[in-house]
Amino acid sequence: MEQTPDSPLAQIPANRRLVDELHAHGKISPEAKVYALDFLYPADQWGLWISRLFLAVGTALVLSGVVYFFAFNWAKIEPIIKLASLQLAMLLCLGGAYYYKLERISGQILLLSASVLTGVFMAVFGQIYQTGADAYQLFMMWSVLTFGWTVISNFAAQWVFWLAITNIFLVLWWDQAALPEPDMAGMIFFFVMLLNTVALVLREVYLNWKKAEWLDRRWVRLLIVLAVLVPATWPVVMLIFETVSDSFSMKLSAATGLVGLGGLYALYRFKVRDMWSLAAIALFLCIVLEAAAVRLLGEALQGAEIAMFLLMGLATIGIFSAAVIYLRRVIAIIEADHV
Amino acid sequence: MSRYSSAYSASDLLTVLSDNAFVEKGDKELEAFVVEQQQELELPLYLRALVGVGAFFASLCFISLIVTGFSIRDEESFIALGVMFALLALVAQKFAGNGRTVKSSFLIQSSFALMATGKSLFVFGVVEVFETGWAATGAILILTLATYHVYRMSVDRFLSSFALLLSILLNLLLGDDFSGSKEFLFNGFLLIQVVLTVFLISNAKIKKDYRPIEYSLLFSLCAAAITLASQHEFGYWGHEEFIRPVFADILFTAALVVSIGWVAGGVSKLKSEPLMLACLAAVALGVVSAPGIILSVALMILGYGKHEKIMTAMGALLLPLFLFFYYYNLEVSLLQKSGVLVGSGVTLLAGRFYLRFRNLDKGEEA
Repeated sequence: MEQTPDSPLAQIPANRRLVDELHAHGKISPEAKVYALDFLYPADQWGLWISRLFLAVGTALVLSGVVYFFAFNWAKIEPIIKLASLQLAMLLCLGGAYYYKLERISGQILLLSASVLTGVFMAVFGQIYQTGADAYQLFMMWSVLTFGWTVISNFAAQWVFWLAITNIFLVLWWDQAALPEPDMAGMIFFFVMLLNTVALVLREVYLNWKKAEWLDRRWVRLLIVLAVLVPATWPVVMLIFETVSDSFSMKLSAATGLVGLGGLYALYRFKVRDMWSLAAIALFLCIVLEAAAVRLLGEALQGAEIAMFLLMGLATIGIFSAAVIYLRRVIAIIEADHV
Repeated sequence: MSRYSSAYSASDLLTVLSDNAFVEKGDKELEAFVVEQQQELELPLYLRALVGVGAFFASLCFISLIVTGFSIRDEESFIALGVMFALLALVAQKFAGNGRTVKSSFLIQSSFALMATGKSLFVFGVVEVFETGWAATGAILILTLATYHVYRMSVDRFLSSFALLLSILLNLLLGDDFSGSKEFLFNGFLLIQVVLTVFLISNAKIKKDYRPIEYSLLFSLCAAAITLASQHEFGYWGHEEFIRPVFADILFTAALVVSIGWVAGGVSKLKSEPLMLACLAAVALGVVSAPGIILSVALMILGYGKHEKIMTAMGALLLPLFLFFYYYNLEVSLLQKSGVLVGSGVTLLAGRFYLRFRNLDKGEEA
């Protein structure tokens, strides 16, 4: 049974459902079923998976416990003990990460734990010395101090964690320190979009330059794509519905948001070719078009509810059908290119 | 429901089986069977999601059109319009074909929107006529039975089945028809769902048409677990009833052990040391934790074993939520909670070190 890489059988993934179906329809014997399952899912893979599950959930629980403990702010513990114990825990995590090396999941999770503890340390420091610092400063320092570890981590979760605290810093800084004039308040959408776009582009460029399995996960890409799409389309929809004043900053954010949508489309349609990202872009574009249709029809057909809702329904079907039709064509083109 | 990923292809599998004389080399009938089983007739998941969102928005427009535009006040008209919309949806689907042309895609989207509108209007009308929550359950049941085999769209099948199960759950918990026996009925409902889920998941002869029911059952079990995690007290003031999570704990623990056995390849495999340990850990988890946590772990194990990413993702996303509920609901101080959290975490880490110590995780990168 020689199968070329393009033959239908070579394209079909072998999995448990396939084995079960073969057995259920009498195509293979019970012994063959057991053999096939052992071949597809060797016992040590299960052990490895459970071991990693224990490590991830166990670490998350311990770190949550540490956060709860310091949130309790136990007065009986001397401040120096609190700070020293946190520093010791950080050093242990870093030592563990060094010992296990960052190529292994144990080392990566220990480094992530050290990053989390850095934030806890700064929160406790602020709690003890009543520094009066704004929350944005905590997140800023947290982001700065953990950046180096993030760069060397080779761990997608560490990068996502760093990006999350940096996003929080940016939003808090805008609200607590930048204190923009009302005309400039909408720039935050632009800044958040810019930050996440830079992260996304760097990810794609890095993956294009170097094969990095740890970063090449679909969920990471989709998460960052969504982190770009939300601030890109939010100001557009708000401007359409006039829920905010049409200030310069909102117009700029909306305009760059639309450009960003176009850029993302070009990236995932022609350069990287990822259908999940394209579908997410299509969904957000549909929402923008839907908002525009609601606004236009609502204004044009004021007082004629029947016509308005009917046309709205038809427009919605039209917009989403167009998106589905287009995406199906892209799928066909991509499949044709791979044959 | 999902595309599966695996390191091996069907071609690799058949080669290995033929090399070991389990099947004949180059068995054309067998190859044709494999290809036939894997034919993907439906849209990919992301496109189905897009169609679903579009249909939701469009059905809102159509419902607004009916309610505000035509000023309908009598319930029977809602029911009649609901039936009419559902019939229109079936007609649109009939003419839609495979969805590969512009016309057919437009008809599929229209059909789904019309079906959602029709079903919503029908259920609304029936509830208005009978003025009871159980009327909604009855109406959804009628619609699901009537359309399941003629309206072949998995998103609709899933949503209809899930709506049916959810309406039963809500009626049991929030209605006052069975006051005094809420706990008994709730637990009975859970039992039936778990039995059905186990039957559907473990029986490979079940047609692919029924996979949406499998997922609706899983989602419904998650909804029940979330309800139990967030509150135990139901009913009106002065007539409160408590639903203790003990039965759900036992039920989900049993389901978890069955899942481990099934995924491992049969009950006989449970005699091996790692699996015995896994079962013991499952029982221990059942004793100390909450139903939702056990359900999440079961979902992750089933998802990993079946290579169904939706199940794994459901488990992974729900686990933090259930952990949060569990520790939030613990009636102890923040300090004690931190102790419980650290203790639980250390126990799991100890489990991991035991696995390493016994060399039960032989992965290179662990």
